[in-house]
Amino acid sequence: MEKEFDPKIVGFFCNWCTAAAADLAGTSRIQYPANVRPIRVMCSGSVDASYVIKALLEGADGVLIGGCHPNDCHYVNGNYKARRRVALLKSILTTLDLDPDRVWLRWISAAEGVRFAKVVRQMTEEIKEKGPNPMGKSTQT
Amino acid sequence: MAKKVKEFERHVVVLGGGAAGIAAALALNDLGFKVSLIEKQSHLLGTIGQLDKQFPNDACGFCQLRSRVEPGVSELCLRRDLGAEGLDIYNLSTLWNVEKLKGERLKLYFNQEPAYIKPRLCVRCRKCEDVCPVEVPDEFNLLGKRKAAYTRYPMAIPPTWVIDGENCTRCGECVKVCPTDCIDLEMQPREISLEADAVVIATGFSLIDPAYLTELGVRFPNVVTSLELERILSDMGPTQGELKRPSDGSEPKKVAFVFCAGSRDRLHPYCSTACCMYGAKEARMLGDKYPDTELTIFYMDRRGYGKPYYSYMEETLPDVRWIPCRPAKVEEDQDNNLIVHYESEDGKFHKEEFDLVTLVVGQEGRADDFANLFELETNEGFVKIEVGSEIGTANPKVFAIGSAGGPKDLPDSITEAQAAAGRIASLLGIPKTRNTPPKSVEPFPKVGVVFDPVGDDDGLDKDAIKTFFAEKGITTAFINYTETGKGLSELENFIKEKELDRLVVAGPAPNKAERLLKERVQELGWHPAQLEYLDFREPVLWGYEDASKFNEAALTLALAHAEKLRLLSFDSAEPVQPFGRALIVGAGAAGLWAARQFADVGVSVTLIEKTEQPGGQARKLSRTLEGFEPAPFLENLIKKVKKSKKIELLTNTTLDRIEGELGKFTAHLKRGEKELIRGAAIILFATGAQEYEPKKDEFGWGLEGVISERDFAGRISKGETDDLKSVVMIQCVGSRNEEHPYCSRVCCRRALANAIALKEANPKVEVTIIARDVMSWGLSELYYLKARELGVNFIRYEKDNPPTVSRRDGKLVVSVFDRLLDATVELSAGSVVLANGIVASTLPILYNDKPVSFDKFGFFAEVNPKFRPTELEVDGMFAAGLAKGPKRLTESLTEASAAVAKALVFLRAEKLAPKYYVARTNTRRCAFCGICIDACPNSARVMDDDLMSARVIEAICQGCGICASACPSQAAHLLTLESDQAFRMIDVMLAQTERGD
Repeated sequence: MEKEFDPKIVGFFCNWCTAAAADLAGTSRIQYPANVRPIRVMCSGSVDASYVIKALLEGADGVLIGGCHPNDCHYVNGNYKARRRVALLKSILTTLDLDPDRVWLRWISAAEGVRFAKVVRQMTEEIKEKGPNPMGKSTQT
Repeated sequence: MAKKVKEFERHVVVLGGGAAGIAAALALNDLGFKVSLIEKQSHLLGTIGQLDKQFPNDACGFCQLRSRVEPGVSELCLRRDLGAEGLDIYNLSTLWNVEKLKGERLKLYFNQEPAYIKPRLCVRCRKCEDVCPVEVPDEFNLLGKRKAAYTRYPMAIPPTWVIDGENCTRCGECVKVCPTDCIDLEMQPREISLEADAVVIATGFSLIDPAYLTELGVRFPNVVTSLELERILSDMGPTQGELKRPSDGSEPKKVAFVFCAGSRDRLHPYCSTACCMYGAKEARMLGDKYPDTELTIFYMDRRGYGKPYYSYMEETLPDVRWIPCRPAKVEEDQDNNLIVHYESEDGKFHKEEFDLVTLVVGQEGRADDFANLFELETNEGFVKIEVGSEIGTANPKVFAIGSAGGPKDLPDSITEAQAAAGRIASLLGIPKTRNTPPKSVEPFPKVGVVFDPVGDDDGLDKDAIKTFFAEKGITTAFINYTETGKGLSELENFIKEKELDRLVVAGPAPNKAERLLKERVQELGWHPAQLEYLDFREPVLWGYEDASKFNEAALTLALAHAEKLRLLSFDSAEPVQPFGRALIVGAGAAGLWAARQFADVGVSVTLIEKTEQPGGQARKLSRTLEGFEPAPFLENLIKKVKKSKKIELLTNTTLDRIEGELGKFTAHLKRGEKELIRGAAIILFATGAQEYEPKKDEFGWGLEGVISERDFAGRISKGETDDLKSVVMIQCVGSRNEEHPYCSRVCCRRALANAIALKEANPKVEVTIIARDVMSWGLSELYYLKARELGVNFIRYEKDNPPTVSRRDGKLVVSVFDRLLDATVELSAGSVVLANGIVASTLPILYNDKPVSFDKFGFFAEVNPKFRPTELEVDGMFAAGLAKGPKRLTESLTEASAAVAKALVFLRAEKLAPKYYVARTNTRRCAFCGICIDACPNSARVMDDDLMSARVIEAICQGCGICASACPSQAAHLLTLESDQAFRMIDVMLAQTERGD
């Protein structure tokens, strides 16, 4: 029997909010699927487009960028810059024939453990429906 | 510094661990004071912990309190930082006695209730809570339940569980499951006594219990308090952020807010200050989340009295129906819906049905419980504040900040907290900071990984993990409880034994532990960056719903972080040796006051003033509402400043431009034709503001007998108004309109002061104040009441229907639409007094050839209006007083003290240690395009024409990495996460996935 598709999602989580929200969810035993592998960054605005593209090319089924809510950024406006960059990146992904809906940007504050779990669950489910990233090496072999 | 003091030699006790107390404790700790932070409850944070978002920016950001100067500090969130050296936290402690010692020192006696859990041994595993059979109402989430073994909130500070002795049945189940034997149900209360050089009272407020407001339906399930609604809307609240009616869990479609519930009544005659704004915030939050909900606010005055508050309210207005009335009665029907009875302004009675009613409750003072211990008086239950100050008490070594001294909002509380630190620094002196030598990190490391998953029941296959890492040349160890002393020693031995120079610790969410670990490895000669802390326990072991994925996560995440460390190497920059001087621009009250405090701690100051004489706007002020006489205070202050050897006062001098960076600013000054140059470590802008000059005919401006409020006050004090028979005062002249969309904060209070003075001198004089909302927030509401008692008339007007002033038959006539009478009334007046607002004095300031940015009102823009109220975008630049927005004289002085406290952190440093959370530029790759300059949120990047490259000013850089991601040629890079490290981490995370099968 074929194994159920188990998505691999790379997460870029802001140190001040989303990374802390993951801790909060865990401490509060609010559980979520184990599909996101997080990389802690100082600001969602520091997530280089090449990181996202690299992750997709290496076979990530999704990329989740977690930043602070508007007005909450430790670096004044880094989250707005992230939003602008992700919007641009999505249009580029389309031209590269990569699915822009595999890249999510979400505002999750340090006080939102429930939201963190919800977002991870929702993304995992939607990616499951999409199926594996066609660029993924695991599907080629 | 003038007074030779050692680090942590002077001791300050801060009473109360809410927002203000924490802010004061951190600011004092930054200045080298030993601080004891006393909290009555089990955990810190007070009310702010219950508010996810606060006005005026609908965000939190409390973690931004900490200034970021030490290497590594910028990675620490507040929670971790409260474990700093020299900062002791005593929870569950109540003050019961104060003794006077020699030299104005105080000895404070506390009673600490037992927590029944030894905090040093608690590893926050929650096992005690899981087995605890006792359930009691949850005072944090309000509408839910908690156990007797609990934390107030999940990521608690101090990081330990406690047992509520009152409700605990001593069943002992928790003792059986505790893995570290930290529970002692026999624990006894402890006596604590602390000797203090100064005391900061930050005891905050109790929320007014609305139980006595029976007419507002407090007993009905669907009448909730504003704090309950706050928790309902919170993601971690009792309904997980979903708006549900307590009675049936349905989503309310029609919600009413009743402002001033329990404020401005007989029991609490004052205004609670913050409620108009936080009530508006809750309405906004609710409206954003549930756009279809119909929102109604019943209010008395719209008190949005600060710089950004009025426009905040205006933005809220269109979506909300505002009714200026306090409901007479709230009833309930059989479906638990609420019938609100109210009278509209035209005198008609209404009955309206709502699904949910929120009582926006105010603040009640707590000072009656303890003020007598300090021999202090109280005022309506709050600590009595000395006239002429916002934080000073009758005891010069005791300060009352935030709501301890009167109902306050958050931004003012934080400013006062930092101001207390500034005042205490100038009273007690501060030490020079020790140097941290620069360290570089060498390549070719030996990396180890320590797992601290807590307990042996974590489901990890230890042998498989060890084998996997051994294949990669990485040594692993499983060490339990690295948070405790024993675990820490084991970890140190592991490092030594295996001769490691890089370590990943995959353990519990970093709290105190990370700071302890980083200190420990620094003692071994490491750079703190050589230790990487991986949050593993909470997000993985407790967060993953599928336990079979633990092993895979252990391999993937730990390896990714180990590989990241393998690639770590950098050279630390040379430390900056700061100039020992502060530059203050503007010698008004705020500038003079700051200069004096700098001089008190031995810092040299250059104080420049563009006019001929110091004093600024304060020269023109008369006696305040509270009875403070500015003139003698100012005269005395100027005298002291002129006498001080530490202060260079330059009048007729302007600031031309600024170059350099934090610690090494160069200011080019102009004095007549002459150019002067001064070096300064920090710059404080106290450039003031101006009175609004009405346009000709605006409210009759220019007519004989029409006078500005400030000039009128001067006339009253000279006794020139005694023969006046009638006076009409018009408020909001040049404030709260399209041109100046903010409240000028001082005018209503001044009108009240004038009105009271007139009435007291001559009870027969007719005084009418025509105002849109009377902004007498906090305890100044008592003066509003007094004015009413004295017979002052108040007429409300709306922005779109303002009063007009004309001269007819030699008399001034004011006509205004009175909504109560539903008719236009005409008032004849001997004098018409216009409350001219405060407007920014715009002055372009060039910093490194770029103009310093101002806010949308033309005032200096604070980097964070709530938590860093005096700091500007550029590190080392501060602003205080009217330059930052309208405020009263005493508030300007408070802000100046707050700026001094924040600035002294840099001025007391012999060297500004090099940072690790910092971006750099690879000059060979830089295309000199300038994109990174615009990307940087802190003006830390400059174009260096000599290098033909962008350059980072490391003292300013906060290490966010936005420049690195914006740079098109990969020249800008970030030390904490280089792109090769990120790429390697991505590789590992995606390559390892098959291994978990």
